Amino acid sequence: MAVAKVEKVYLVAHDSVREALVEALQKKGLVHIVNLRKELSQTELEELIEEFEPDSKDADFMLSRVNFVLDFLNKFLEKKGGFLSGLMGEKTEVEFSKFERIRDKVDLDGIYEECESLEDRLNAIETELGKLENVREELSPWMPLDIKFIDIGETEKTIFAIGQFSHLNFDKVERELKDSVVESSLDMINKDSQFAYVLVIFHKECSAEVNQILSKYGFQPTSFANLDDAPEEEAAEIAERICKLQEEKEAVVKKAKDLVSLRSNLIVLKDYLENMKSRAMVQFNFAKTERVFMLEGWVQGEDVARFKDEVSKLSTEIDLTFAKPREDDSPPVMLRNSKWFAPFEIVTKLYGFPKYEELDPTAYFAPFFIIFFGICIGDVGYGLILVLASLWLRKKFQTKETMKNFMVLFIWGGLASMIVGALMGSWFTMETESLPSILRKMIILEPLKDPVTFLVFCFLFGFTHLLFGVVLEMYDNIRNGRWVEGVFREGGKLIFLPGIALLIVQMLSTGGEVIPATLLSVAKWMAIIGVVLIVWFTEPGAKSIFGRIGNGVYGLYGMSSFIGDTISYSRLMALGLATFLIGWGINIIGGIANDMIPFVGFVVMAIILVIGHLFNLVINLISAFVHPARLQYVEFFGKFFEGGGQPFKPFAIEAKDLVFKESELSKDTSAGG
Amino acid sequence: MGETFLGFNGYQWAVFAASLSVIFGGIGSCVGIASAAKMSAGVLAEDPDKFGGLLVLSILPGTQGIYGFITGLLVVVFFGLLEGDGKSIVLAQGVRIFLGCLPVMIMCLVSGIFQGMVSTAGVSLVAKRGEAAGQGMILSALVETYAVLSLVVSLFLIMAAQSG
Repeated sequence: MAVAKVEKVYLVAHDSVREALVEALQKKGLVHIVNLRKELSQTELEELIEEFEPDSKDADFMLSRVNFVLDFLNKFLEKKGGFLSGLMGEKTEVEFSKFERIRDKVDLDGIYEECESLEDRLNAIETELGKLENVREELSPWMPLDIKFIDIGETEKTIFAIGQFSHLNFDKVERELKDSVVESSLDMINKDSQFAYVLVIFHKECSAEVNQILSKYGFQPTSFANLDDAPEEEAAEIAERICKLQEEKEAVVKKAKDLVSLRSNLIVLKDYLENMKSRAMVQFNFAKTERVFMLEGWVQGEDVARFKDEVSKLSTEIDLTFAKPREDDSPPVMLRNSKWFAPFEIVTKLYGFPKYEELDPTAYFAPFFIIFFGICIGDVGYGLILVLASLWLRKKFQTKETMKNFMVLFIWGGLASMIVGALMGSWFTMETESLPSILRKMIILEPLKDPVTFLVFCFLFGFTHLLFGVVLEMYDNIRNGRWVEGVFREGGKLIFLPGIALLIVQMLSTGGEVIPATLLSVAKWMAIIGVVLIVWFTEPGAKSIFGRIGNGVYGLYGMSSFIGDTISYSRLMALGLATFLIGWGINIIGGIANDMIPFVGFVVMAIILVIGHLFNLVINLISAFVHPARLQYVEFFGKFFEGGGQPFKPFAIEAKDLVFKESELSKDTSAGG
Repeated sequence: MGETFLGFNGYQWAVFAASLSVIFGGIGSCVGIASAAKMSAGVLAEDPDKFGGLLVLSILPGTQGIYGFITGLLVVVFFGLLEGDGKSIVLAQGVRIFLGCLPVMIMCLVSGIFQGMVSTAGVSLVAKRGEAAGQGMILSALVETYAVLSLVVSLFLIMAAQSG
């Protein structure tokens, strides 16, 4: 229901206990540490403070190795599960005692070296394979050639040359060579869509003429520097080498896959090292002289005794000073809600934390949020699907706090949708006429037949919501000692708003008396008294009477925002109708499919209905969360809530990819999450 | 055929209204979603884990198309356009239907496009701070308010045209 009380703590101790103390603080996770060094550097104490760099090099170095190994191993991980488990993220379960000793258990250097050599070998194999594939590609047109490559080139008197030119030129080349150089031969070895691959044999003395003819027709000589045998033998050898390399690659991959089983330990080690690092990094916040260090932090009121106890266990040479938060402090904020309201904190956190001295709005908006959500979905069938799906997903999301809370929200929202749906006769958006009479008896309002009443209902909900916001502002003011404003200004609003609302309703309903005359005269007086109170008490501390009245009139003008705010709740009706109408459209399309398609029409209808209604539910689910949330943030919070506090984040062991099995520690750390 | 206005009789005005509601709402949503989804695709290339939040942000300008669809469907069903001999809708009623659909046509077109812009900005917000997806959604929903209001008024005007 509220923001947890915190106390400020200053801790001064001899430097020799620093490491031990930091370790203990992290394990217990009780204190939110603030940057004392920065704070002191702006005061006259600055010159006492020594610069010091906490050492995290070791952890950094090991972390980089762990990350390398994990990246490498992840490539060989067989992916299990689909979209959903990807969304849930994977967590490794570990006992805390194992977590603490993980550094000795894992031979990081050994694994790292092994992975590195495996990766090097893999890269080398890949490069070699690429080269061989290239040679094979180049060799392929030459397969019919039955001369060894070693014989290509110059002999005593003749020259053997191989090469390629455009096959369109082959006839011309052949003719010219025949005509001008007698001692030559040209053989086409192969031909593809572009080139003719040729072997030219000629006498050394004619080489000038031959070369001239050949170059005229774009002859590109080919050479295979490292190959000796005939192409066919060479190709066979390459195939054999590729085969061998493939085998070796498979063996390396298998070795790497065998290492994958070490992954879970490495993940634990990674989180352990991250925590070691944060243990070093947190010391940047400490102020230190030559022999003494000091830290400043916040501890929750109820944890103070435990904190003292834990610290005094460590050493008697530690001095602790506690202080209540001062006016100019901005203490960190921890939301404290009962089990029922705690899941709604995600909606509050989305907006931002309250300031320390402010109300925590969570418990106040939760019932409204559920009702609004219910109106936006407003269907028994959809609500039921939502409840069942959320119950199932909540089990699956066991380790993800935020997702779990969302599921709890959806369970409540689904239940509300079922109630609203029953009251409005919406069962899978079927037409009201086709419902059994027992279901029809439950209906109190048919939104399509009587949209005006539906709209008025939404306005009424909204107006109540807004008035409740004013009540909370009143409570907040009185709680913080501003009781004149609380009682008279907010009280004035509470009298004025219902009065003026009744008058406006009467004014708008041009035909006849909607509101009884006696009530109307009461309303008139409520409005008048309210105006007086608001004008006089908007700024009770004003210096002059004119200032006070001026501010008051301005405050009264501010009341006009309630009109716009109330109208904003019409979105509830629109979204509720939207769910119903889209579903209705889907039912109509399904019905048409059933009528028009012979024999399999029923199947087509079933497919249309299932997919269509799921689509409708998902689309409206987004709106049903976002719009009620907006009504809280903009319309409701605007009346009493400011926000802008910083969250209470104790220095603690953080498990990013881990879940600790032991209950004692997980309790400590989850308190910070 | 009965009376006509600008060459359309009552029935044709009603069809015109239903069609344009769906078309304009659809255009607004398409433009809006396209700009947000394009940006999301870019962010996803770097950071595939943010898919959930980005999907919701990109889909938010989709409601305008749905509002247009609802309006169109209501006109089709309320005025029996499917049975369609067209005699039942007199000219005055047809024009009233058309005018009643105007708020949805214009507001869904405009707000869809602008909501897309806010959603796109929300996507770049999420790219920098993954945990801010919710805030991006709320900002985007601020624009949608006016599409919702236009839907409310159009619904009432269409219902009034049916009963009157």
